[in-house]
Amino acid sequence: MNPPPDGQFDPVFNDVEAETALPVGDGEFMRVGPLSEQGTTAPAGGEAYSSGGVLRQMGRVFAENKLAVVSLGVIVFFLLFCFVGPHVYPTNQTNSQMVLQESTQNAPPGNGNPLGTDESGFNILGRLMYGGQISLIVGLLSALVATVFGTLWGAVSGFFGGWVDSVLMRIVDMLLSIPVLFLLIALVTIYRSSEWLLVLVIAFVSWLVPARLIRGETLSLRSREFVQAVRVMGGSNNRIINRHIIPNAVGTIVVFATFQVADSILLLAALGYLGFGVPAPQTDWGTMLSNGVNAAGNGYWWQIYPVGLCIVLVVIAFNYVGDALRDSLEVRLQQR
Amino acid sequence: MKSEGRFKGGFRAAALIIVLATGVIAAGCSSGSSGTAPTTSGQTVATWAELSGSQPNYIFPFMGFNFFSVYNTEQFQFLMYRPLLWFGQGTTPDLNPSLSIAQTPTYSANGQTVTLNLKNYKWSDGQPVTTQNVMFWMNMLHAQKSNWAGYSPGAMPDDIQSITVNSPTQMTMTLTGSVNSYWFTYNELSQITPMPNAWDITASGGAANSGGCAAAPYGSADAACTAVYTFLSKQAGYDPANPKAANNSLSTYASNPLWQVVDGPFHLTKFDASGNVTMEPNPSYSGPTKPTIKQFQEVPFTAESAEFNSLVNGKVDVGYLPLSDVTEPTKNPLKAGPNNPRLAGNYTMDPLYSWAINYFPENFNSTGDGGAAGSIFKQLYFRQALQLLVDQPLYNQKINKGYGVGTYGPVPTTPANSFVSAEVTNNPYPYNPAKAISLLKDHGWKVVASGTSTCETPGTAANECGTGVPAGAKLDFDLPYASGNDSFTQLMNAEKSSWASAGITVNLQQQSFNTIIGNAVPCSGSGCTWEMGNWGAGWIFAPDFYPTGESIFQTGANSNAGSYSDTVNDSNIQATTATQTPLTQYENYLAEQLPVIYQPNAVTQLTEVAKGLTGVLPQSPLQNIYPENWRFSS
Repeated sequence: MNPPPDGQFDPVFNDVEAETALPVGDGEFMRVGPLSEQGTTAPAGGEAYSSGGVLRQMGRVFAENKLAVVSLGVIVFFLLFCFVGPHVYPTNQTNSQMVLQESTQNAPPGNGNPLGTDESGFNILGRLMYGGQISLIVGLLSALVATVFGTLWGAVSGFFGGWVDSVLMRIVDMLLSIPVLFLLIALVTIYRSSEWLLVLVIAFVSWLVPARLIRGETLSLRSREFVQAVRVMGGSNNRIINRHIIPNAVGTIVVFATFQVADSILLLAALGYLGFGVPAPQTDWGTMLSNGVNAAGNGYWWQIYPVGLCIVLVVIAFNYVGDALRDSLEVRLQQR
Repeated sequence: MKSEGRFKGGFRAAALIIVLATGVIAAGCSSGSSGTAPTTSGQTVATWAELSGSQPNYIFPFMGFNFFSVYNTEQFQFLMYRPLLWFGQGTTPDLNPSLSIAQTPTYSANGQTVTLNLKNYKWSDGQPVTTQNVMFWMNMLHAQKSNWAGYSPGAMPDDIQSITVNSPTQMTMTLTGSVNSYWFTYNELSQITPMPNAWDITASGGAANSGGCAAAPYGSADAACTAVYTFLSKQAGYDPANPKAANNSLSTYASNPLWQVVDGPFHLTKFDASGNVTMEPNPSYSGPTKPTIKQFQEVPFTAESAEFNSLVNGKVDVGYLPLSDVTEPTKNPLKAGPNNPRLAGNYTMDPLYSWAINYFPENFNSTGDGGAAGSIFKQLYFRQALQLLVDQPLYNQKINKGYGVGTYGPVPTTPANSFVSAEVTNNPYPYNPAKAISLLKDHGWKVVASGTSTCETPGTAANECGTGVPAGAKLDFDLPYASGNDSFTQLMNAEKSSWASAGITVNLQQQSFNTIIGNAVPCSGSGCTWEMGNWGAGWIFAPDFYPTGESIFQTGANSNAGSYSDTVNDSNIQATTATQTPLTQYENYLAEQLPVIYQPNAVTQLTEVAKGLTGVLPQSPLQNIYPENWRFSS
């Protein structure tokens, strides 16, 4: 089966055999009877050819982007580093009393501490793993929450239009007008900081952009024939949004979600840098960087460079992966 | 989406540049380059760094515990409004007659009357400082003792029978009984700050003395004094009827004519809510040393790193080296070790230890923790367990880089003095986690290391949890602590881990110094929910310079934050204040009873003084500052 012409597809018909679905333009398909019942006229676009499934084609386009492949490797490496690493290289990262008793503070790399120790005596290599867990968890979860909520908000707004659209979008406009850092700091100050609160507050300021994007997509999709067909056949609004509009906007959603992970990690780093990260002895990369910069003047370089490198690598990696995903979901590029 | 993507790409690129730039900047910093020297030659403006996170926030000298800090008194109000008696002589907390408004008090043979003679001081409005100004304070204290932080039951004004004004410069106080004259001078008369007649009003623009408080015979004008107190408090931004309301008057401090009537060496010219303070000399100052600088500025910082950077860049003349920036520990806590290499060329470092003990209170009346917190704190075994998990020598060695001494009782160990006993010098509760766990288990608690212990055996027997502690009560408490100090944060985290080893969960939360002392006040009833609070500085013995402890540990004292109450302790205090009884019995008892959790007494600050600036050293252990003595090199 040919892929849809512009990368949009209707998963409702994924289980329909190729010969039972015909394109009606711009990637939508309509259910028709078996080909044999329609005579033997050849399709106007020529004979169908198989070039593999959608996912396989996406993978092929993705693989053409070498930087993206390397970036995916970087992400996998950091996931392993942060979540498997502590089992391979266990260190004390939570007991401040014990680390004071057993460690030297601000020790340079060496003597059992490959990347030295920080101002409390924590092993920095282990701290990178521990802090990375929180940075990645907060980054991934907040991106997920923001994307899901923003998608639903935008889809409802765009689909219903009228006063519903006006009200929902003005709320988005209003929230977008508040400086993000100001809002984040206010929320983290009011409520007791924790990784779960950070997930929520970062998601709270991040769902606005996908809401706008999906609303735009929905405005375009709701007037398409396949949506009207579902409506004629008695499909409910709920079904149209969840089974037709959102799946057809999945490309936009996935690409946004990937970029949002990087942005969330940076936002968390900014909060940590300003002293509003997770409470000690927990840490995140931004908090580590902040503490490290404070000590930089005293020559403790090992408290800055490793964590700075981690942030840069992970953020760049997610950006490249996001770019490659966008290319993969862009059908015109798939057929290069 | 494309334009959106480009925008977001731009944001990410900018963010990455910031991160990379941070690294580059840090790399530049890490070269260990020396800082910039402050300009001292011919300078007329002196800048002084406030302790990070701690700013003055109240101007009226008659205040409750919620404003009672050295940042408001010694380092702000005293520069404008001098106390009757000045304490702090060189590096000791002794009475300093030369800086006092009054001569050294004289006592009758039976210790029941005291005579005060005033020197010839003047207010900036041209009026002399007279006994009526002293009576103004005494009358206000009589009317509003519950709103004075220094009040403790039985002490002033309760022990004043009468006051006779003999002349504008002489007055006699008759006491209700004999007192220890040393105590009365150091802890009672020390509290008095003469107030100008211009403040004796109940409405803006009122005529001096129209309030009827200052000129009235002692104790005869409570209603009038209450009205004056309410007016002045509101002018300072505190509404006694609504004590939790935000202070909206801070911006008026420098412009309100009330506060411009001063008898100290300076008057206020600028003030803001962030703690930026600018003062200029009071040309009428009657004290022995007149200021030569044209302007004195106090500069606030929200983080130690910002303060340190200001020092490196030569932006302040007197600041302090954060403990986290001490690159080489000292071997002797009382002596300066090597200065930070980036400051050594431009500043002289001098450790300042206060006449203080460090502790944090538990609220014995707390209804927190499901209502059980106060009852748990009342159990001595629990307080002992908490204290046994505080490893003061380790914290002083590692976190305070050697600049710290232990606090093991209610009497300071530094500066060296004859009051402190051997028991208070030697830790009665050395770090011992096993003993702490054993204490809890022996009293009916199911100890869950790294979890939260619960009461399994309620009751009042020796092996049960104790009075008021129900089955299932949890050792889970909130402990807000002061922000702005990195080494203090390290200390709190170390203690949290240590307590967790015995299943005592302590939830830390950073708050400003002013927020904590505003919340951790004596209270009772269902609204009394705070459990613990650590403002990071314990108690500096001022204005109770003789460390008999009635201000902070006696039942009902206004600065007894946790409402500790013990009849034996009250008797011990009474003995030291009424007679010449040494402090030994009092302090040994409280060293064992743990009315508070004693904390390591870190150096108050490692003061950095710009080379070329004289008159800053020696530093007062009472944290007074004397910018009138400061001289820049010509």
